[in-house]
Formats: sequence, structure tokens, C-alpha cells
Amino acid sequence: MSLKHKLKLLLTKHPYDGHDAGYQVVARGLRDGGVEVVLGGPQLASEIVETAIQEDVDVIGYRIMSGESMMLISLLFNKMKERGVNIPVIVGGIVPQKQISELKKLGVLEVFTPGSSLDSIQNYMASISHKL
Amino acid sequence: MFQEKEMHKIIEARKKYEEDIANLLTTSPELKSEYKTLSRIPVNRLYTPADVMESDYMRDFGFPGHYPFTRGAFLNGYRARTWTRRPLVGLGGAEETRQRMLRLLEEGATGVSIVGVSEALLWDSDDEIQIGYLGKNHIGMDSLADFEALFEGVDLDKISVHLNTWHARGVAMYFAMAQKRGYDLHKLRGSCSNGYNRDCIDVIEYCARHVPLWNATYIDVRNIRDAGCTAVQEIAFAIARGVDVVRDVIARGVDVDTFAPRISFFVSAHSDFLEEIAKFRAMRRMWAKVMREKFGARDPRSWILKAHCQTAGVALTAQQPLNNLARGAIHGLAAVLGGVQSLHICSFDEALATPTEASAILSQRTQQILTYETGVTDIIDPLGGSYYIEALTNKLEEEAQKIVEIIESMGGAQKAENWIANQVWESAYRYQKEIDGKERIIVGVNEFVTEEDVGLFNISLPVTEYDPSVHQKQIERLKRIRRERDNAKVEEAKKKLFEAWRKGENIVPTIIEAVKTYITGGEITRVRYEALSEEVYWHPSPWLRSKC
Repeated sequence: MSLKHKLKLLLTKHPYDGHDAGYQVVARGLRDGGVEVVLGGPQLASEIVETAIQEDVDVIGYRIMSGESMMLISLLFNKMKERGVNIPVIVGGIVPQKQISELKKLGVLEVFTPGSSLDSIQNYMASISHKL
Repeated sequence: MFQEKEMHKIIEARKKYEEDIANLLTTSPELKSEYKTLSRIPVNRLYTPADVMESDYMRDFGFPGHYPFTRGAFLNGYRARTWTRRPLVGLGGAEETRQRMLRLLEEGATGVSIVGVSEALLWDSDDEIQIGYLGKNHIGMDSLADFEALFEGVDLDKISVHLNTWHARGVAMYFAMAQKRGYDLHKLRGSCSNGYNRDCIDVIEYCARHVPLWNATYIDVRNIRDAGCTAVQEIAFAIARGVDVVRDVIARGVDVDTFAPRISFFVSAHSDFLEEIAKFRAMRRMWAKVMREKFGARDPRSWILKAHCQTAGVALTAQQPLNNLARGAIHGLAAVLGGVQSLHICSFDEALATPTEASAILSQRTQQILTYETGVTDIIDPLGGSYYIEALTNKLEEEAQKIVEIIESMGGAQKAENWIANQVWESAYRYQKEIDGKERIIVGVNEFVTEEDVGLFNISLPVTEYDPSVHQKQIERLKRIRRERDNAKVEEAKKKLFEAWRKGENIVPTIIEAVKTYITGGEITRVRYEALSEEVYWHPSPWLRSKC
């Protein structure tokens, strides 16, 4: 599949997120789907925001496996506010079902939980590429 | 193993059988277009003595507890002693972990594996990096005080402890705690994970000389497997990494037979039941050959690959989580039929959160069912001699050996780390594509997805809710420690650590003394960085590497 509009995404994760099979697989899946992927690797919230600004990405893909996405996303949004930017965020990882709507209320665009196919992620990117 | 005439008959009969099959397939086609193991090794529909005709019983299979150990690490299998039922324990802070540890021992665990120590001791609890991770991803721990709380009232001689530590400070804190309580390091038993940097080689060297009963390192390939590699790669990386570690320790002038018997392996057990069984057998045979032939070890104990298995977390699903109970049992059975020495079966809720106490106990029960009800502990290597298992054991060894040779030609596992990481990611990607394309069915994920299993019982599943007070409590303890300790002694300890690292001395004795001042993990990290300028990783491998 190909994107009608170019999309540049920063794929990042927390420094304590060691196991990164999913991270690597999603990175490759996104690239195969035509997304320009910047591999941020393990980063703290402030580093994520700096990288996103420097690389001028359209969207941030944040992988969170600790189950505490609310806390980490709030931290990320606060850092963005401090820097005066508002970059859309997509979360991938272990997110309890009831937290998904709360994350979206905070401003997260979409949440991909374990078992999501690469196709579903690629299709989603295609669906948002013209809006970003 | 068969007379030539007999073999000839079997081969002829086999040809006839395949002709019959070919006829049958015209009217009754097979369900899959291709049959292969999870490692993508093509498999035949049937195996006969002709598939192992090149094998020599005494040379290739032998007897349990004898070279080349294909049929088992020890003489009498599980008859005198079954494997150690060793659950992973690590949640909240030291107190919560202690409580879970004691409860699981009460419920029949025969060992514990303390997880989350390594990560905890990299940075202090009040560091930004800890937000959202302390108490969930790893235990809240900062200093020796937390080790004292974790093992308070626990007789260290009566418990089989494994510490998941990838650096010297974690094991140093355990040793310091033991010394303070009057234990003699020369008699102290237990084990630690250990990594591959110089501190970790220091631990092996130090233990060989001063803590001789401590299993000073295990070669971790389980986490590589969970990063997505195949069984063949798991075997190859185990052997290659083992070779690298042994080479490094020998280079320090330590006799191979003084430390090699204290090396063990940390392995996985994934979904391809028969391939996993063959994997353990192939791994043992390869290690025995390497240790005897390559390194010239003379003590037979140096030839034995002892394994702790933690079943594959990557094979569990967040969807229909109760299905993971069945998966865990099958993975565990493969490990037992493969002859492991120690086992943790992942809890069914592991894809959702840190296991609840109930699901951790259930995981123990699964192990107890394997131990007491299935009968598989009565016979050693019961699948040995199966034409398929033996042929597959041979094939896995052959394929893994090719990879070991590539890694050796690159200068060993540490030098080949990036190549290995790319191999792992390539496998992980192919696996995901197979699932997406439904070439591989994962129940509840890409097939049979209509019903939620928990919902079927009209119940809701209790999942661990993290206690938000754990982090704050730990920060308060840390502040108290910093206030109450003798900070002049801490500064002195920092200087000594800096000097020892700079001079390239074995760091372990200095760290053991340093941690007794209640210096924190984060402080040690900073001194180490100042002395060596080496980046900080919570785990030494690129496929797990997270620069902290």
C-alpha cells in the first residue's frame, strides 16, 4: 500500500522498555507502508519533544509497555506545552482497555494494543496522512 | 543403528509408502501447502530409522549424565530431584516482592528468580527516568537497605535465589547483605544472570576464587528468543555467547574447570512443541563438544549445559488471556521433556500486566501438575529415540552450527552483536508477516476471535492495579538513606570505585565494600560513567538495548 500524502513519524520508546521486537517490527512495517520513520530509540519525554521538533515530524509513535501510559503521555504533553508545540501522538503497547478512551481524551490520536496487525497500522497511517 | 539389510528394507518400504501417499493426495489434499517447524525447517510427514541412519548411538546420543549429554544433563533425570520450580518475582518495592516471594515458596515453589533488580539499580528512584516504570517494570530499589528489606528474616541457606542482574552492583549488594548477616561467601549458594561487559567478567572471576558455589553467570538467550528469533538462532546464539564468555574468562588466566561448571543458560520454550524438545537436546550436545574439544575442559561438569527455562512471553496473547494457561502448560511440558534444570512458566495474564498473586500461584500449580500428575518425571528423556526427535536434534545442531561459525568468523558474539540483532529482527518481522497473512494461526488473534474467553464465563478478569504509593514510598526511603548514612564514607567509596575502574582492577571486592556505605545504584552509575565513559544500558544486548 502507498500513502497519498507523505508522512514522517518519530518512533520512540521509554529507556526502560528493553524488549523491542514489536518496536523493530512496527518500524519496518511502517516503512514498508511508505511512512518515513525516524527511529528515536529509547528517549525521555523531553528528548522525544526535541527530536520531534528537530526532525519536523508529522506524528510521534510512542511505545509504552509498562501499563502506565496515562502518566507518560501526560508527561509528554506537558513537555510539548513547555516548548510551545502540539505534535499528534499515537500510542502502541500494553494499554488497559479502559485507559484507551482516557488517552484519547488527553489528545492521543490512536492506540494500538498487542495483536494489532501491520496492515491495520498501515491502513490507519494512510487514513490520517492527508490530515496531518 | 540398524543392520544394512534391514535399513535397505525400510528404505524400500518407505518409497512404497510415499507412492501410496502420492495417490492419496490426488483425492485427499493436505491442509497446508508447506510443512515446517517454527524455525522454518521443512518437516516430512513421517520419520523412520532411515532418517537417523548416519547417527551412532554411543557417539551422538549416549546416556544421561554422560558426554555428549544429548539424553540429559544428569545421571538420574528427575527421579531423585525434579527441576527447580523457580517463579519470577518482582513487583512494587522490596516489601511487596518479599511478600510475593514468601507466598510462592509457601505454595510449593522451590526457588525464586528476583526480577527487576538490575534496572532498579541503574538510576535512583527520584530520577525522571523512573516515572511510570518503577514498581511496574522493575522493583523500587536503590541501595543495600532494599536488599536487607527484601531478604529480612529469610534464611539464605534455605532458599534458592536467582538474581536478575546484568551488572556487578546487584550481586555485590546480595553478597554484602549476606556478609553483614554472618554468612560465609565461600559457602553461599545462588545464582545471578550477569552480562558481558568487564564488570560481569569480573563477577565470574571473583566468584571462581571467592564464592565457589555461586552460579556466577548464565548465558541469556531467552530474551533474544522473546525478541523474535527462531529456535535454531536461540541455540546458535547460546553457544556463540557461551564461547565468548568462556574465552574472556580464560584470557584472565582462570582455569576453565574452575568456573565452567558454574555457568548455566537461560532459555525459552516456544510454541513448536517437538522442535523445542529437540532444541534443548541439540544445545546440550553442542555445548559439551565445545567445552571438551574447543576449550579442552577436563572436568565433565564443565561439559554440561544446565538450563533455566522461562517459557516464551512472546507466544502469549493479550486477547483471550485464559488461553495462555494452555499455552504455558504446553511450553512447560516441552521444557521438561527437553530436560531443563529449572523452570518458570509465564502466567496467563503476563501479556496484560505484572501477574497477580492468584495467577502466579496458578502458574506454580501448572508446574506441580507437570511434576506430580503427568508421569513424565519417571522416565529420562522419554522422547529420545523417536526418529523425528533425533533427526530434528541433528538438523537443529547442523543449522545452528552454521550460524555459530558465521559469528566466530566475525570475531565472536560481542563483535557480531549488530549482525545478531539484525538476524533477530528479520525473524521477528517474518513471524509477524506470517501471522498477518494467516500462514500461522494464533488462536484468538487472527482466528477464532469472535468470543472473549473471560466473557464466556461471565466474569471479569482481575488484573494487577499498580499501587501509586509505591514510587513515593521508595523516594522517601531513598531520602532517608541519604540523610542517615555516613556521607563521608560514601564519598570515600566513590573515590575507591573510580580508582579501581580506572586501574582496571576487578571491581567486585571494591563494590562489595562500597555498597556497605549505602551508596545508591544511581551514584554507582555516575562514578562508573566518569571513570570509563561507557554508555549505560540496562541490558547488554542490542536487541534489548535501551540506552538509559
